[in-house]
Amino acid sequence: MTSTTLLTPLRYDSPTVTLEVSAREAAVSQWSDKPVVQVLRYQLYIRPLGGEGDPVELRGDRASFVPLMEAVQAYIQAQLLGNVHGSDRLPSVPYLEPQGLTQHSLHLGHLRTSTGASTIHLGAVQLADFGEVLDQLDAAVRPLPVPLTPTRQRRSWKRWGAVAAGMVAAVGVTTTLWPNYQTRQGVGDTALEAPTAEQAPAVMPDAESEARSPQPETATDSTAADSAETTPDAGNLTGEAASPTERDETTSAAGSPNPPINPAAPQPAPRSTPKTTAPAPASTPSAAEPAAPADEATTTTPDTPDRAPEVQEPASSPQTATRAPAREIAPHRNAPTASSTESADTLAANEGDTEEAGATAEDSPETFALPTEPPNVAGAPEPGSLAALVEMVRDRWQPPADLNQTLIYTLVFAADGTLVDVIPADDLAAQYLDRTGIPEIGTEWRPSGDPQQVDLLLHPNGNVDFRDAAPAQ
Amino acid sequence: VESPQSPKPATNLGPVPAPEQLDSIKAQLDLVLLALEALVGLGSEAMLEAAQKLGLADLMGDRVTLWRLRQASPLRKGQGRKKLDVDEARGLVLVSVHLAQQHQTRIREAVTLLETATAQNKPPHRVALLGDYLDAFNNFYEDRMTPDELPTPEHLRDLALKLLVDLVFYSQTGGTRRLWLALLERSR
Repeated sequence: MTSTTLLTPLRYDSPTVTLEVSAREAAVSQWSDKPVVQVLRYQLYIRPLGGEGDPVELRGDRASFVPLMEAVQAYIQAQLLGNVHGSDRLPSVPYLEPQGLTQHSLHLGHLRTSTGASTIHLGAVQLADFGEVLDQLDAAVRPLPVPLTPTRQRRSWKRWGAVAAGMVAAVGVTTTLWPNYQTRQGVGDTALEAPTAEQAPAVMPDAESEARSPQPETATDSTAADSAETTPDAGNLTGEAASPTERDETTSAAGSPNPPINPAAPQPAPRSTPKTTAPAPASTPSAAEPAAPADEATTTTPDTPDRAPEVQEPASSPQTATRAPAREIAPHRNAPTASSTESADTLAANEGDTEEAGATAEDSPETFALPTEPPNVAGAPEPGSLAALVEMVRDRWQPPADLNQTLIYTLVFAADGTLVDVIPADDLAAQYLDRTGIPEIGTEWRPSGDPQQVDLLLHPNGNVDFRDAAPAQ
Repeated sequence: VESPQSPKPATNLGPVPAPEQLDSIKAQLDLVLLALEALVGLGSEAMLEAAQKLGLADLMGDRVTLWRLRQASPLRKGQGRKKLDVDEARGLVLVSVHLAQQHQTRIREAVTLLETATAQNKPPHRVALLGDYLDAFNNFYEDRMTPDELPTPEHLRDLALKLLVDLVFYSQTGGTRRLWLALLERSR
């Protein structure tokens, strides 16, 4: 019942505020006096009262639209009642507070303006105009407060299907290998490595304790891969904890938006530390690969000298070619590197079972890839970095069955590393935007050295790549 | 599917106030109209004309009926106070918002001037339009309201300016709903 039709652009104007919305009409509209729509994207322009100065621009998606709309409408009503109170405010959710009789501060929560500001100052007339465009929208359509997720059901079946297929394959492989294993059981430890790798999750606790022992065996790799997998979350927490207060910039809708503050230079350095704790790269290109992020980097050259020795260190450590294959499923999707597809192919060849990796390299010969980490580390990109973002999208991206072309989105980062906009390249991309898994606008990513605009490519085969976007876009 | 619109425009505003809320509503509505009068020099003719246009002639067809409706405010001087019923309250809301929308340009101009004066730390009464408005509002208030309830000049000025800012919101597309909800909430 929730099937949807094509995107509808809507636009509402008042003297100082313009609201543009991309909405998708829901099939349930037939039961309503007004079209029921799901707002997918919106752009808000708040112009100064006198007309001089640049408008404040705010863009976002459905997830941020509903709270913003509710905050403004509720505040206006509270203002008319004369009882604005702020006891239940959450800093992550938009809210307003009065600054005297005629001025109001709109705190954007996770949202940011196009200049990276987190607060907008509104005069009474601008606030009224803001309410006006929301009223116009409300009068014309009925925005859904909850997302429509028609493919959710299918996704879960897909997952179950994948699990079932995996189990069948595992049983088949085990049946094939078991006699072999039985005959070689007494020969030596090296013969155990293939089954150990497959059974890695089962032996994890032991492997972990071994990892702390001096000898870096294969178990160390798999354990480190595990720990690296968990690192991004922790990294995000620590990396972002201090940032909101540091960068609590404001911009006035009456003009003169403050320039965003650049993230402090030392901040990326701690994030590179976990890299050294990541497992030693298995393949030889590791020494060359630290240079690849530098290719992508648009700023932070000071980072490069810091990082180079760090990465060289693991490169010189002893390697084993028998890294647990079970852990390499995700890295294979990351395999094509930023530097060239050649390296992706090489890696694919090195790794053996690389149908997926090969497909990735073919799919996007011209694209950059995930941040050029050695393949073993690629599953654990630098927390809070662009790589982590792409990795997250990759994990979430479930291509719909009917999709047969690559979706391209331009991700725009403010100077402080906040994701301020996601621009679909075409109507089709806009249509699928809510299903991409791209994080909410306003999410703080601190891609030190990453481009300010990147194109994210979501392939119908489930792959995700990114490439530098032209600055003019 | 929503129920079809009632033929009576004054009955389509939403929640119904309890009888004890009506006193507060009467007072608030009278003040909104007072602010409009003070700002744009409205007379009872304009209000009757608006009522006619909105199909509310049954509720306020002549000056006497209108005067009795306004006189229903508990803040007003004099005797013979009329009991305002819900339909009449709704009728006054529709008329007030209609007039605010008619004079939206003037209201926006006044609020813009107030914003500018506030930003410049300039007393509002030094700005011609705002000074005239404040004077007119003071005079109307002192003339019509009971002396027992007269606020201090500062309070009266603040009240006038608050009502002026509120008028911007009432003059917008959703003004009727906003005013009605504000009246209901405030009377609780």
